[in-house]
Amino acid sequence: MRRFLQCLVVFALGVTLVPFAPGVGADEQHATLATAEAEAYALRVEYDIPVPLSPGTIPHVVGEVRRSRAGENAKGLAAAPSHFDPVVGGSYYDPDKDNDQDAIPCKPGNRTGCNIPPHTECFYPGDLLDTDFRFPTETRPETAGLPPTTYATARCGAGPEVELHAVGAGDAPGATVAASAADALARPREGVMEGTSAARAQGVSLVGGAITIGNVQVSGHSEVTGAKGGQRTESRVSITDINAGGTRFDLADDRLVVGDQAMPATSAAAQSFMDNVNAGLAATNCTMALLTNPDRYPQGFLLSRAEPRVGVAEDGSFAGSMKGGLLVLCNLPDELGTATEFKPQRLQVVVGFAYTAANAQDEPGGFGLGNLVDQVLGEKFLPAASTPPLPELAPAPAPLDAAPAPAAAPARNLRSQPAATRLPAPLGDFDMDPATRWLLGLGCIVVWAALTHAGAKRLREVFGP
Amino acid sequence: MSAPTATAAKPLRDHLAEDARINAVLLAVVFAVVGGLAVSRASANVLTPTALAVLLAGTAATLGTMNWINGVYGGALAAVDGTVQTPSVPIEGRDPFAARNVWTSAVVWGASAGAWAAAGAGLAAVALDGRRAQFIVVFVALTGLAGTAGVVANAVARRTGIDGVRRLGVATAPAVPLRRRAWRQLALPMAVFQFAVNAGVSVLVFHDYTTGTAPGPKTLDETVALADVGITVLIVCCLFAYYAGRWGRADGALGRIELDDPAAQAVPAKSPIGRQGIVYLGLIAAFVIGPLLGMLLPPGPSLLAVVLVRATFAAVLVYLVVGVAYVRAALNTVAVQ
Repeated sequence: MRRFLQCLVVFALGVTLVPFAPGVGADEQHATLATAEAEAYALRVEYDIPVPLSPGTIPHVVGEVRRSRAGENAKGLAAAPSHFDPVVGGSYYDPDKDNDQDAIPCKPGNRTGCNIPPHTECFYPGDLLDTDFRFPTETRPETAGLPPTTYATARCGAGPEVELHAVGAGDAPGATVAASAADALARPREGVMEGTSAARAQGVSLVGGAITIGNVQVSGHSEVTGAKGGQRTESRVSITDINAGGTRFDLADDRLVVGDQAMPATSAAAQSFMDNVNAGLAATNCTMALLTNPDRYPQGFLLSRAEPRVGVAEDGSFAGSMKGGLLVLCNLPDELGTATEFKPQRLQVVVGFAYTAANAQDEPGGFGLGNLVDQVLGEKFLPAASTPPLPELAPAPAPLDAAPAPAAAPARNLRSQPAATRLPAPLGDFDMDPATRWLLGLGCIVVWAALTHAGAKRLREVFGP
Repeated sequence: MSAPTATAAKPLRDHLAEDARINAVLLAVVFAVVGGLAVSRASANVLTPTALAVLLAGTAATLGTMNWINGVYGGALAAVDGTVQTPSVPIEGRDPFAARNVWTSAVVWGASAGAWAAAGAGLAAVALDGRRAQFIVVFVALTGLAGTAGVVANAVARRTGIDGVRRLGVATAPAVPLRRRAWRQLALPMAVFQFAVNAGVSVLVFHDYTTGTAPGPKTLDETVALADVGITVLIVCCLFAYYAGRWGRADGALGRIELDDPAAQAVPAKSPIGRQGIVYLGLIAAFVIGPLLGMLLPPGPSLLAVVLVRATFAAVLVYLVVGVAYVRAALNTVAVQ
């Protein structure tokens, strides 16, 4: 009996020491940098006057998670549309309302009267962990009880993890979108650092209907395990039912599809076909190009940030890729601006873009089956070669030999993935200063020891002498 | 056909040690499930120290309470059945089977176990120093703290039950009418307790779901909230029919109950009440009441609404199962005697 009692007490005591064991406990102590990025949008429109001025990028999600010795952080933006250009409006004109509202006071919880489209950001650690903007629900008292027509949500959290969703439709001079949605997710999961993004749109019309597009779908996924063989990246694009000056064609990944024929987008035949398309668009002063390699184009309006790293590192530490759909450039006639001071020289539109990247020099963490024992045995159970499936953020692009693309879809029937906007922040996530830590430790030891003594005494009585 | 052989009575220490070993194995399995559920719902699958402390304290308190009641009755049954050698000199104490004593002791042990585990979790928080707990930490902490507390509570309660039987006739409270004992003194408090337990489990399971009417995966809707009603019914019916059956058997054997209406309640010894009542209760709960629970939830229910509906359903089911199983076992035992 005494041996049993001693074993029980020693076991309980030993258990409380487990967290002190080296390697136990998650995050923040990884030796090297681990990051993941994700970005996607369906349509970016800019006017060059010549400074780029934009009515926005719709819908747009862009986020990044980062973990290093210094800690972890996550940041993201979701908007429909976003404004990433040197010259931005940021608000719209409402002829029936007061348009003098300054955009600065427009904050979560106080957006009444704000003439701004849904645009929200998150950052972890901090107060902006879980944000959303539902439009026009939050901007007008009379629409407060109605469901939103468009919205943007952004959630950043421990892990680190960023989850973004944007749903919207919009009209801008020279471009309209009937319905669109975008999602992004970046996080470590089961030993894999991953970034995933997707965007889709329907019923796109450019330059007053001179160019129409039935469906736009782009998606990307990158992941690394920090070990050789664990890196993977892919980007896909599918733009169907393109009607440019009466010529119909589709774009599926790196292939141009005309009727029943498919050809590589970089082939001479594809270039020749695009020349014919552009000849048909001559009356509109527009040209169209396939964005097979986005890095061929100026980074300013296309990426709105430094040119990202793409490719795959042989040692498994990095994987990244991006893909764009179409680039439309229209030289605008001078007559367009005679009645106003708005005299753009060029309209430039990017249709469909996705970029994802992941980087990790060692095992990036996240819960996995290996975690059950690897800390105890001191071994790393790396994921198998087949990595987890992609989150279902968006339907996969249609295969080439699928049925003919549907006609322009009815407006506003896209359904976005839900936003985790009601997720609570991690319970009691706080940092202790050394004094608090020692006080807590001392108090807990006293309570724990007193109760252990009482329990052991009672147990000794039970088992008898 | 050979004649049944009597089970040899084990020495008290062996009996308690064997019971502790069985408990430890069962709890390890349960903790693997609970720990897995907890980290699977946590952001990035790691728990903050505060979340770990709440989980540990809640689990330990639940185990301390439940194991006390089951231990007292388990020890009493072992003494009545003669499977344990009762001590020649029982430890003095209160009548452990009186309703007030059963529940006050259970609550005290639950609170003590919760406090002990919370203090241990505080030490773990100090050790983690701002980091978060992975599954291995959660599982080991659950096993070492909540599990140890549960095993100790059960061992002490078992000895208390054995001593309680030994002291019968010396300091025994008068018999209690069966209905009052079954429905008011045992089923009702247990239902209230299980309401709290199931509310906590519901929060654990659904706290990371998106609420509201927006469509998409991981949205907390009626279907998701009630998808496991069948599992709840199965667990409640099996677990509490077993527990309450043992409580009824012990109370019946110890003469702690009296029939309210002997003419109506008496059961012939040769035709005891079967388990069909529990089976029918489970079937009705799973296939009739369960599907109707959705009517209580609004479209896009909040987490609070889901927790209330699920906890209420489980509590009512526990109340009925405990009452029915206890009455059945007690009447069958009284009939045999």
